[in-house]
Order: sequence, then C-alpha cells, then structure tokens
Amino acid sequence: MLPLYRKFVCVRVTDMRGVDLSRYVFDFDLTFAALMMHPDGTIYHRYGSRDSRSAHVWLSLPSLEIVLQESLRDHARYEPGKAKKELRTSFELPNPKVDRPVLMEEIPAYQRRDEGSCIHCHSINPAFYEEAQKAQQWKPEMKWVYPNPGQIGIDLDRDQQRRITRVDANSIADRAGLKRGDQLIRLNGVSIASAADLMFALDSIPTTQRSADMDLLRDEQATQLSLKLNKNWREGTPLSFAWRPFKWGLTPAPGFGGPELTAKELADIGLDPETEGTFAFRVQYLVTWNENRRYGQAAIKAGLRKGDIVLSVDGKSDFDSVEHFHSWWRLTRRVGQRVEINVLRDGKERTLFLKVLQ
Amino acid sequence: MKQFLALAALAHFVPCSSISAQEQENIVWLNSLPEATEIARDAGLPMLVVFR
Repeated sequence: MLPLYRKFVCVRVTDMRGVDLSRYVFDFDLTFAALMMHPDGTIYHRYGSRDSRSAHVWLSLPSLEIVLQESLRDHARYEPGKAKKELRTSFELPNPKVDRPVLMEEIPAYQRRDEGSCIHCHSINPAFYEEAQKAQQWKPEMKWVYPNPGQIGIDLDRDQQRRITRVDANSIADRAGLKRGDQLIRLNGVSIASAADLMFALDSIPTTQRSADMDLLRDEQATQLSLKLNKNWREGTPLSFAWRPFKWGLTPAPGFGGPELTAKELADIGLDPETEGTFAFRVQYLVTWNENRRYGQAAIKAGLRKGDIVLSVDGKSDFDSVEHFHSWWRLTRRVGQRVEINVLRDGKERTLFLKVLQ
Repeated sequence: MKQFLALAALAHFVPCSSISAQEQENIVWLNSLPEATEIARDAGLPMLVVFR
C-alpha cells in the first residue's frame, strides 16, 4: 500500500475555506472522503462513502488499494483535453457563477454565520439548501443526495466494490437484469471502482431522467443494461437519512431535543429496554437561538419543558436514535400540521400539541 | 476494524499498531491544495486528495 501512496501527490484538506466546490465535488456529509484526480481537475475515482449501517461499511484497505491502482491506470492513459466533461452533482447552487470558483465563504447563506473559523464539509449542503429555497428553486427530491446502492436494490462487496453481492427482488436492479456476482464498470458515463463512484454516478442522474445506461462484466463478458427509474427512485427513509448532518439544516425543525434514555433510565420509568423499538429521550434543550428559534418558541408555547421525557410523537415511539427522530420530523412533518407529543413529567404522562411552523 | 484503523492511520495520521510510525512518516501529506496541484502538474503525478 505504501509504495502506491508514493505514486500520488497526497494532500489532506481539513478546512473547506478556499476550496472550489465546483471542482472538488463529493458527498459533503461524509467525515472522510478521498478524490483521486489529475491536477487539471479531472476526477478519476472517489473513495469513502457510507450508508445507514455504519460509517465504515465500505472502508477497507483492499478496496482502497483497488481504487488507487485503477486511478494510476487511468492517469497513465489520460489525454489532457480529451476528458469528458465532469458530470456535476444534481445538487447545485442556483445561478452558478460561470468560470469562477464556487467558494463556501462567498455563499450568502454561509456568510451570515461565518465566524472566520474552519469551514466543515457538512456545512455545505445546508447552505446550498438555503440558497435554493431563497431562489425558489428547491425541489423536495433534491434532498436525497448521493443515493446509496440500496436505492436501486443492490449491495456491494466491501473489498471489491465493483462486485454486486445482493440484488433485491423486484428492485430497479432486478428489473434491469442485474445479477449477484456482476461487476459494475460504468453507470451514466461515470467509471466505477468504488461504492463512492457508484453513489456519485447515481447522484449525477438528473431528477428528470428516467433511465441510466450501465456497463458491466458478467462471467468476464462485457454486458450493457439500462436502469429504468421512476419518479421517486432516489427517495430514502428517515432512517436511511438519519446519519446525514444535512438533516440539521432542513426545515421544519422540531425546536427541541436531547439525549436518548439509557437502558436503566428506561427501566426506571417502567419501559422494557429489551423490547425492540423501545425508545424515549429527555428534552435537554429548546432552541431559543439562531434562525430556528421560532421552532423552539413554538415548542415552549405548546407546553414542552426542559426535563420532559418524550415517549412518542404522533403515535410513533420506535425511533432508532435521537438522530432518527430529528430526521423523521424534518422529512415527514408538514407545515401547519398539529403534532401530538406524549411526555412524562414528574411521573405523569401528558399530551401536548405543537403546531409545525414554516 | 483493524483494516479501518490502518486506513485511518494512512489518511488521517492516526497512530495505529498495523502501521509503524516510521511507515507513516514515509507518506508526505501536504496541507495546501494549490501547492499539491502545482507539484502534481510539474511531476506528472495524480493527486490523492483526502477531505476530513
């Protein structure tokens, strides 16, 4: 592995200030992402991606080695000026400046809260979201960034990420004819060597496009297939979205939150922590600061207090985590809706009603 | 997990038993994208850009 690293100029970026977001395009929600690229900006491959299962579901040394070797091969045969134009992600700033770098520190939605410190990757999607909303160009399907392989009904081998290990019955992949053991080569014009490449390829499919061509290897024979995509193919679930920091920027927000109760705390209030789906959290904060304070104020108006234990929201109590609750609220609650919140306070259950604000 | 730690060590400078400190020191990580781009262009090498 180390000799491979020495064939690259390695650079580590921990601050997105000054980084051209139109050139270095990746899933900004990740805590670790790598691009293998030509210095002219052409990206050969991507590495580092995840889904709701874990942060390192697709991180392994064998898979990284494959991607590095593929990138070296691509670099050796690269002809400057002949590269196809990089496919852009579907999630872009409205009215992008032509031929100018897109810098996070120049995006108005971020400028307002820029304190001059490091800019984190995960601040980017919420800023894009806010700008798109302001420009009235936001479409709900745009939030489903970087669809994971499960969205088309497949899973990939962790060490050889071109290889399909599972095809779900009656999924998009199944209907297209994909089979277990097939090796993905190219999708929608994007060369695939990793799960990150596949997720970029899926993300690059415009939301209006209803099919995507795929090259693959089956029993060492080149094969072409076409994925047929319905209108909602990108749409995941609150649980699949819960890991994304992007959720914190979406509205409407609940305006309150806090830590999940431990097994002992659940038992203390008479809930069985061993029963699947048992969940409760303690209200530790009501948002009374920043642009989301209206949500916190609405929660206070509804009667919610710090220290309340939230048992269920609109009848739902089987959250996997506090992150799941926040994702669920933002993706499923609608402006104007009256949300029923059951809480435990001083040993007594109470029902509160909170109106969801714009 | 061991593999992940080794990967993290390479990409993040996290000490780990799978990769010796000496091996880690053998990888030069730059901190400037413009500098790395210039070096890669001059040397005809590809870039490995890690964001974290």
